Amino acid sequence: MDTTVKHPAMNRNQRTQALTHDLAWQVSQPDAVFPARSLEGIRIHDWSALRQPLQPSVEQYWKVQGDKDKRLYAITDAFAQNNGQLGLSDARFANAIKLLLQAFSPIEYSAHRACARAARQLGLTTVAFQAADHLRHNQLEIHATSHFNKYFNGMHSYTEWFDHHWMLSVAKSYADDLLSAGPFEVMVAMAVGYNPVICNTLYVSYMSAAADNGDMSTSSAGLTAQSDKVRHQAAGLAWVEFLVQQDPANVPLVQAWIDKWFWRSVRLSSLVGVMQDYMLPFHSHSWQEIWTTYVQQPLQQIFETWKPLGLTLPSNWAQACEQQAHVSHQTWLRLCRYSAGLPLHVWAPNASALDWLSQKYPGTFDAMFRPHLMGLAHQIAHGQRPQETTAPVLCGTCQLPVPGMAGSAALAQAKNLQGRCFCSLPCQHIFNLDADKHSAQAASSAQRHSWALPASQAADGGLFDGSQDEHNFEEWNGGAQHP
Amino acid sequence: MSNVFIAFQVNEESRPVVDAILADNPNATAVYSPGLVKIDAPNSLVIKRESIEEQLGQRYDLQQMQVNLVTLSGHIDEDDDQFTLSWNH
Amino acid sequence: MTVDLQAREIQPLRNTFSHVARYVGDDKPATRYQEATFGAQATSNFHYRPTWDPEYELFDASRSKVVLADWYVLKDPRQFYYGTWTMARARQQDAMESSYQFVESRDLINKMPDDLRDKVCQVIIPLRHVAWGGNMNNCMIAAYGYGTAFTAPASLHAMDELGVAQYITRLGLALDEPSVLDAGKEAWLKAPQWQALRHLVEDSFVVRDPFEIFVAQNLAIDGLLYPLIFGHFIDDHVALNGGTAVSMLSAFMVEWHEESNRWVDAVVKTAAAESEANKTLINEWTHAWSKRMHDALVPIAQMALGDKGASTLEDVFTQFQARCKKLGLSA
Repeated sequence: MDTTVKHPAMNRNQRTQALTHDLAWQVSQPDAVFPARSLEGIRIHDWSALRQPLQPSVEQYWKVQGDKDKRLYAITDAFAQNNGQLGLSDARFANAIKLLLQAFSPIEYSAHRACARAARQLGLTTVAFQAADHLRHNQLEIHATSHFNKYFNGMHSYTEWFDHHWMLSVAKSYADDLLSAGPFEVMVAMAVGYNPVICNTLYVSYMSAAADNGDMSTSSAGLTAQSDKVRHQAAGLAWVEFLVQQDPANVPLVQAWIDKWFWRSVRLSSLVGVMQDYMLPFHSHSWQEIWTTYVQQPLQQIFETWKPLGLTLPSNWAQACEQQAHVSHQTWLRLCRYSAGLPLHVWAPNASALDWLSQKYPGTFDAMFRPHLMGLAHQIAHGQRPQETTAPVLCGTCQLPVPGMAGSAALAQAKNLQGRCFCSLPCQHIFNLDADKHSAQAASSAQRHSWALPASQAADGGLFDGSQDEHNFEEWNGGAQHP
Repeated sequence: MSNVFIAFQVNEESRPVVDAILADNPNATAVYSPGLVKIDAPNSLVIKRESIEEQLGQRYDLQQMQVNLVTLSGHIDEDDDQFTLSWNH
Repeated sequence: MTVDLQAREIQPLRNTFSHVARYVGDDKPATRYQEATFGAQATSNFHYRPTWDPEYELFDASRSKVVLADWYVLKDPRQFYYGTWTMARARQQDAMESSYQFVESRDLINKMPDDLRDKVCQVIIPLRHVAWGGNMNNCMIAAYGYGTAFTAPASLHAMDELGVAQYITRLGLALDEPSVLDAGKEAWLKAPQWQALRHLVEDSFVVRDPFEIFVAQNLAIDGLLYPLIFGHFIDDHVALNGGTAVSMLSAFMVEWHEESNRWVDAVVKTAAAESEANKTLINEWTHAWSKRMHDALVPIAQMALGDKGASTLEDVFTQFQARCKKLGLSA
C-alpha cells in the first residue's frame, strides 16, 4: 500500500514541505497571531530551515498508529480476559505499575497540553503530531493499568495523589514547569531532558524488564509509546540544532535550558531508578547500567557533534553521572522510612536481591547501603521500625526531599526559608535564574506538607508484608508463597 | 567509542528488518533482552528497503519500520529507499 | 506460563478509578472513553503560573466567557479516545488509498475535461490553507480549553484538519504539476475572491476565548464551507460534469465532516442549554461568524458554481440556520 504521495517532480523533502510548512503563510499580523514567539528572546530568521526527521504525513500517521493500537488493545484485552495479573512474578511488582501511573501518566497528559500550546504558539503543525502522541501515551497507560486497578491498591486515586502527595511533587513540579514554559523552552526540554533521560530509560529498559516480570499489558503499552518517542527524539535534536543555527543570540538561551532540563529530568529519573533496581522481582539491568547505555553514552555522542554549534554538555553533567551509583538506593531507603503515608508499598529486599545489588554496584552498595537495608529488614521482622509521619521538606526547585531535612523542626525552618531550600547546587542555580517563578512553588509544597493519606486509603500505603495486595495475590494463586 | 544503535520490539514483523540490517552491516551486533533487540554498529548503520523486501518476500514501506521501533542513537538520514544512522554530520 | 482460558473466580476490589467513579459510579467497569476522559486534567495545587499568560492558572476555565458548572458535561457522542479515533482514521485512509489506486490505474484524471480540472484546482487548492487554519484553531482549543472532555477531541480534530489539508494537497498533485500548489497559494494571498475568507481566518487566529474559537471554526467556518464546496461543488457539480474522480478523492472530507458534526453539535447544544447567558453568548458568536463566513463565500460560490453560486450559498446558509435552531440557538 503506497501511502506516500510519490510525484516524480518531488523528492521526499519537497513532499514533506508541501504537506507541512507550505500550508502556512505570512499572516498580516504575526505579532497578534503568534505573540509567544517573541516571549523568550529567541530569534528565528528562516522557519523553513527546520528539519523534522521521521515526520510522517497524516495518512502515514493514521495507518501506522492504527496498526499499533489495534495490536496493543488486543494485548490489553487478552491480558484482562486471562486475568494476566495472576502471572506477575510477584505482587511487589505491582508497585512499579503504581508509580508509573501516579508519576508518569500525568506527565504525559501535561506534555500533551504543553505540545498543543507549542504547536499553536509557534504555528508548527509537526508539533501537533506530538501533542496527539502524548495524549495517546497518557491513555495507553490509563488503559493498561485499568485492569490492575481493579485488583491492586495504590492506583484508584492517582490523580489526587499526583496533585497532593509529597512523593509525587517531583513529578507534578516537572509537569507544571513544562506547562508554564514558553514554546521554545518546552521543545528544548522535551529534546534534551524528557526524551533522552526519562523516556529512553523508563520506556525502553524498564518496559522490557516489566515483560519479564509477567506484565505484558503495561510493557506493551510502554514499548509502543516509545515508538512515537523515537520520532520526538529525532525531531527534538533537529530542533535544538535549528535554534542555535538561526542566530548566535539563541545559543546561551538554549544552553541554559539544556542545563536546567537535563538536571530536572535527572532528578525525576530517581523514581525510574527505584523501579529498575528495587521493584523488579526478576532482575534485569541495573539502573546505573541503563543510565550508562541509554542516557550517558548517547548524550555524550550528541554533544560531541554539537560542539561546533557552540553547545556544551550540561554544566551539571559530572555531578549527574556520579549520582547514578547511589540514587536508587538513597531513594528506596527514603521511601521505606516514610512507608506508612505513601500511596504504594515498600519492603526490605530479600537476600538474593541484596546480592544482585552488591554485584551490580561493586563496593559502594555493600559499604554504604547494604547495612541500612539489612537493618531495615531486622527492624521489620521485630516490629521495631520507627515510622516517619511528618512529610519531608521538599527542594525548592525539583521538589524531591532535601536530605537531612525531616521532622517538624525542619518544616518550621523551611517555612521561614519560603521555598529557598535546595537538595543540590544545580537546583539552587535553576531557582535563582527565575526566582519569582520558582518562589510560587512554595505554596504548593506547603500544601503537600500538610496533606496526609486519608484514613480510607490506609490500605494503599505501608509495608508490602501484611498488605491486602500480598494477601490477595496469594489467595488468587491458590495460597502459593512467593520468595 | 562512537557506536550508533537501533532497537526494535522482537516479533514476526521486525524480524526481516533485523535480518536485513545484520546482512547489510557486517560490523553490527544484535543483543536480545525480553521483548527487545538492540543492534549496535561502529560509526554508522544503513537500513535498505530493498534488503527488507528480499527478506520479507513482499513490498515494504520504510514507514512501517516505526511500528516496532523502540529507540535509536545517531544522526538520521532518510529517503524512500534507505535509512541511515551515523555520527558524521 | 500456561494460558488458562477459563476465567478464575476472582473478585475485583473496584471497577474503576475514583475520579471516574465520581462521574459514572462504581457498580460496573467504566468504558475506555470514560477512563481516558474524566479527571485526566489536573485542577488544583498548580506549582507555577504560565510564563506566557501569568494572569491565568495553567488550566483555567475563566479563559472562556462560557460558564459551565462542570466542563465534563461536554462529552463526545462518538466516544473517541485516541485508539478508537486512530483506528477509525486508518480504515478511512485505507479506503482513500484504494480510491487513489482506482483513479490512477484507470487514468480517470486525464479523462476529465481540462477546464473542469482547472476549475477544481482554482476552487479547492487554496482551501488547504483554510484547513491549516482549522488545525491551528483546534490546537488553540486543545491548548487553552478547560477539561479533557472538551480539549482531547479538539486535539484529534486538529489532526483531522491537517489530514484534510494534506488530502487537498495530494489531490492537487494528482490533478496537476506541483506548481499548482504555488498558484493556489498565490491566489490565497492575492486573488480578490479569496481575501475576505483569508482575513476571516486570520481574524479567527486572534480570538482568545477557546469556546468562541470552537464556534467560529468548527461550527461557522466548516459548517458553511463543507456543504458548499465538498457537497454542492464537488459531489454535485463536478461529479455530474465528468469529475467523479475528484468526488472519490474527496470522500474523506465529506464523511469526516458529517461524523464530526455529531461532536460539534453536542458540544454547542450542551453548553447553550446550561444557561441563558451561555445561550446568548453562543448565539452572538454564531451570528457574527456565520454572517461573515457567508459573505466571504459569495465570491467563492460564484467562482465555483457561476450563476448558481448565489442561490446555492443561500440554500446552504438556510440549512445552517436550521441546524443551529436544532441546537437551541435562535436563527
